[in-house]
Amino acid sequence: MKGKTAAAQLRRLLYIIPAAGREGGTSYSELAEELGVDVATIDRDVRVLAEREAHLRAGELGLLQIQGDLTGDHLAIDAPAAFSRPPRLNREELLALLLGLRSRTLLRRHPAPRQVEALARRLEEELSMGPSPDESEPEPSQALPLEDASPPLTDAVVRDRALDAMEMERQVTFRYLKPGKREVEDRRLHPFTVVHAEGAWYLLGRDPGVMGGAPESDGDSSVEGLRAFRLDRILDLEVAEEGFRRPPEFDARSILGEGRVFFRGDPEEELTSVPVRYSPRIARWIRERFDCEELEDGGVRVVHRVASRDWLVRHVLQYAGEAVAGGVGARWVREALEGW
Amino acid sequence: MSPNPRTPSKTARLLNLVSFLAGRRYPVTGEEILSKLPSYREGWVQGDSKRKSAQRKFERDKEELLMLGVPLRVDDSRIRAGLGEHAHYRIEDGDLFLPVIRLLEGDEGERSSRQATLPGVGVVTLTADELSVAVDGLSQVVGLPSFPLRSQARSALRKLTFDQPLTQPPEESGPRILHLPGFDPFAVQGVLELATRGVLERRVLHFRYYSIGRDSEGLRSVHPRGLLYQGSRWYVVAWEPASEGERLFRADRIEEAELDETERFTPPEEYSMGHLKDRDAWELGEEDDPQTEVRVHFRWPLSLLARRNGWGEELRDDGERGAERVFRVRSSGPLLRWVLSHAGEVWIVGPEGLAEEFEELRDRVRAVHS
Repeated sequence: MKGKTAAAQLRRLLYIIPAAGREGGTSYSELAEELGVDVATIDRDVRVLAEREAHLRAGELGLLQIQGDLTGDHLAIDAPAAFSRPPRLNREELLALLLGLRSRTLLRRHPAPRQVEALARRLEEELSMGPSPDESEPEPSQALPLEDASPPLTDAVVRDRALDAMEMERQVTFRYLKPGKREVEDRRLHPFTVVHAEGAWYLLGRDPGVMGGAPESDGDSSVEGLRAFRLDRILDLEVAEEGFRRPPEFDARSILGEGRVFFRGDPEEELTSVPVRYSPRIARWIRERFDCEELEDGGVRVVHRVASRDWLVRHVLQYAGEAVAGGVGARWVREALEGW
Repeated sequence: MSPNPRTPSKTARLLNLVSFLAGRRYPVTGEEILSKLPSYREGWVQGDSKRKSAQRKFERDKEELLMLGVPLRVDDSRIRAGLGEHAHYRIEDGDLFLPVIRLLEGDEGERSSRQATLPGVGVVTLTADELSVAVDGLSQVVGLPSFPLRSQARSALRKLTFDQPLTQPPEESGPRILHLPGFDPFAVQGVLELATRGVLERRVLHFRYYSIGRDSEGLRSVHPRGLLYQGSRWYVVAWEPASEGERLFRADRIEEAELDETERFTPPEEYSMGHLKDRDAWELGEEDDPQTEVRVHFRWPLSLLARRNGWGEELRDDGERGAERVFRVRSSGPLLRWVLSHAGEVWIVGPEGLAEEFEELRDRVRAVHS
């Protein structure tokens, strides 16, 4: 809710007044966090309230009369009953809510999309400010049909179960087909986070086998034992009876970066630097994705830090001869092509 | 320049107007508003020219409140009934203020809320599951990189949980669902906000676009129909009158975007973007482009994944000897490269010409690595 316009400030004030009107009041810092602005902005907003009263004559305060402690970090406002509520959802907030509900049905199958649709319609009717002032503009629900919000079945099933397991802090077991392997593995995991990156979903968690399932491993937020599994390579997933404790300070953002699920988690894989040369024909796509070294022929060269040999082979093969791996990478590609 | 201490700021003026009108049992005339609120009174009590200026200021403020979503109602029933010459204005508490959200607990329907019923303010009851679904959904879009309605989603989240002190907004750290963007979120923010306005207000969007396939830049004018977040990237879905077709524009290849404030377009009725969801590269193309049926063999156990992920349609499943599946293809290049990336676990069975083309590509990779 950033913004310096009067409209943006009024929006904030219509939230600040009821928030500070709650029992015990609130603090400037809390409001700043809730509204996504800095404390100085809240301070300026509150000054408008004080300034407003200075311009009014006795008896002109209308419905809104503000009394309270406007000093220090603490803010308490004695507002009349109606102003103890924030405004209803405006059109854009309602649209965000409907998109959120739609996103929820895409991500998780329960409750059923039809029930979520019914909830959306109800919330729209009961919480919103009513019709748009411009009748030519569609209402959010008209602009956002929920009818086709059917979840992609397979990944949604796995995500649902993994998220259920995370909420209940229960382990998961599943069968997994690792890229380049011909055996399906049975895996067990403490699920921490579901990650979406490069167009694919991943399940990130700790392999209790690596930590020996020892109780002291709980609460450890290091990358030790962390594993990432592509959801579309998980054949089935069950929530196990055994529990686990998610490290409270665990934050996947601290170990993932550059838009990729890439960390040194698998002891079987060593990080290797592999140079790959890309032809001028595909160079512009590569420049968009990686830091490149320009070559004289118009092509580019990238040195990839590779944790998975299979990733490199698939990456090179997809360019059908327009990408050429060097160093150990060339041998990996040759070996992958042997007997094929 | 410091503000004139005698003149309330515009925010204070708007707030005064809301405060004056909210909760009044009867509508008030514009004259009453203009003569009583200090922001307009000064001009109103002076001569005719100042009076008109005060009136214009009130009209602008009224429009601004309506744009903000404040339900300021204009009642001209007295004029229509011949009982007066002036319109009346009012804001009903029940229209403006959020109803109290009470949570139903368990099957007994026991209600819990620390908010008492307020006069004129309604009550909405939700089950804990319903509230949780709404909070989860909003948290999901708040976490989406560069989501153009993020601040509105956060605001809706705050309002939904206003009466639920135990329902905390989502944690900023350690989310259970994390999106890693394949782009600079700040770089596309402006484009997405403009495109969102374009969709909502049905305004033409002009921009410079880099078409990577043609390696050329050009000016485009489109009717934005929606935004698509797919493959960890944002796309603007739009109808392009010049090429008479629906196009997807990657947001991070759009520059110098601006909305046409003068022109509005009419979108097709009952439009849905469902047909764009989860399309593979080989399915892209015009609706009337011919489709080829391509038969593809999957070795076991990759055949299990092919079935699980719905890659093509199953023609035959021979268990541990693999499976044959058929793909409907508009553009064969992307399919050939995708099949190639499976390093011998998948191959093209037919049509024959395409199978030969696939083998040539494989030999080409072999040659450049020999």
